[in-house]
Amino acid sequence: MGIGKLILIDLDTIETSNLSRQMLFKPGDEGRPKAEVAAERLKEMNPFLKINFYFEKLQKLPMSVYEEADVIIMALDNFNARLDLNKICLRLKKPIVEGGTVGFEGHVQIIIPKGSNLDYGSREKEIEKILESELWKLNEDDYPEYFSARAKIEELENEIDKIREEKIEPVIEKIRDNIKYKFDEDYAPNKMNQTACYRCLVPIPPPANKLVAACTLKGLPRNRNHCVIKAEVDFQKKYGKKPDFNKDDDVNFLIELAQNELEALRNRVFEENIPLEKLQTLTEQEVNEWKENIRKTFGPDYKFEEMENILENKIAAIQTVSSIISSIESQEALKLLFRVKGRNIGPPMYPSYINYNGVYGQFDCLEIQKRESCLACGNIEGEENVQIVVPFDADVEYIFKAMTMSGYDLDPDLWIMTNPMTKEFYWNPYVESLKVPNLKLKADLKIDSNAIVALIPLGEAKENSVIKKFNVVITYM
Amino acid sequence: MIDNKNVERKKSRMYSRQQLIDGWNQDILDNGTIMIVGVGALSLL
Repeated sequence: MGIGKLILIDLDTIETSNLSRQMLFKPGDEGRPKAEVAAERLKEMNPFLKINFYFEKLQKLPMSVYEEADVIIMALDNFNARLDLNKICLRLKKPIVEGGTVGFEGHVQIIIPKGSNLDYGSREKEIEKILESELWKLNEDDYPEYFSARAKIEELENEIDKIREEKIEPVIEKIRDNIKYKFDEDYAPNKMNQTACYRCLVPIPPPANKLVAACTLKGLPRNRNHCVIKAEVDFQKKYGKKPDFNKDDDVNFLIELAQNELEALRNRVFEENIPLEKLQTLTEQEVNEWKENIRKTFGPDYKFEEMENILENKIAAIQTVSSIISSIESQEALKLLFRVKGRNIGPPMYPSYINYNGVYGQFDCLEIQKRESCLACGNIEGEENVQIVVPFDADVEYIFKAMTMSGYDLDPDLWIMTNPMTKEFYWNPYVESLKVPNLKLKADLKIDSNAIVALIPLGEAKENSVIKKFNVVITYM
Repeated sequence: MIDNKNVERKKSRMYSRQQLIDGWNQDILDNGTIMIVGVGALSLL
């Protein structure tokens, strides 16, 4: 609260479910932009605070807005927005404090981009980590005494200290000295003053929700979530719009549609398990037991709030955990802000990732590795990993549809699809025999679930596309 | 003029406990900007 200026960005409006745990909002705020109301309330609490707020998608804001910030707190609720903000901050070399909660669990990660010139990390600890991995690489021919000493330690526990002193430590010292000698030149540029980024932890983002929904709808609903997804589509067909969860009438109609689907699902499962000839042999009590079991399997009738939780993919959340996580985020942001301005009131947390489990009241600091193959901060340029969900009978054409639904509109006439391991072509628009859109992925091409196919641009697409290769993980549903 | 002085005094009192922390400099914070993307988790910031 003592910061000179806050910039608040949020695309959401306040919902009734926010009031139980987002303490800046109160009854009567429903429907108003979160960023605007938060700015008002914070200004009431501290009139000295300067606040700019944006009720806008983070991807649409001009870079100048981000450039103004010294530190960026990432308190988002979905992967894609996090990945986009991660990318922006890496480009602008802005430190990030990332946090999130799910039910009783939460985490905070600080992200210091390479080139942000913030003093971060411990030279000694980094040397020790490298030493450890270097020791694993030693071979017996080069260091026979080291290895025999290791063996002796196991056999002769009472002599461990003596042997270590004579045989182990000299080798370790030699390698450590070697690392120390080379550290500033060889290791420091990639180890010091930077952390893993958000993308380092999420190499393959989860599939888009709408893709899962579309895939679900291709068949009959198979669980209670599917029934609600189907009901939403029927709602849209009837009213030409998505249901508004702030309107009771919309939600009630949605529940009615979903409930019909759920009832049909229960009946289908009953009929699949109890064919007519079997039904005739059962007593009324047995039939009721079957129905009760099926009811337990698919859950009770829908509740009002369940519609929004399922369709908006809401995450479990409670105030206590949010408070702990946001407090740690504030604290880290404060230390980083001082550091950006050249003053030290304490080092940022090290390791850069902390997990909190509210059930056990336990914090765990996790060593997370910066990945050289990270698509955001590593050495690989122009590649993207995408996970898509497809029906069992999906064909080659469906991959392009799924890519479009995942946000990548690729012209099938300008992209080839291959097996990245064998280099076998699955699709090549330039060769008539390899341009068969209705080839089934599983039946014809023998692509297993969670296999990877590569999409590579040709001609015009090769010149225009920033991404030169998509690694597509295909999951069947 | 008196108003300005009062405002400054009030501000200084508001942040008086933080000033006791080693290395704290309120002027640095006054000139700092923090961006918060996603306001839902702002509850205790």
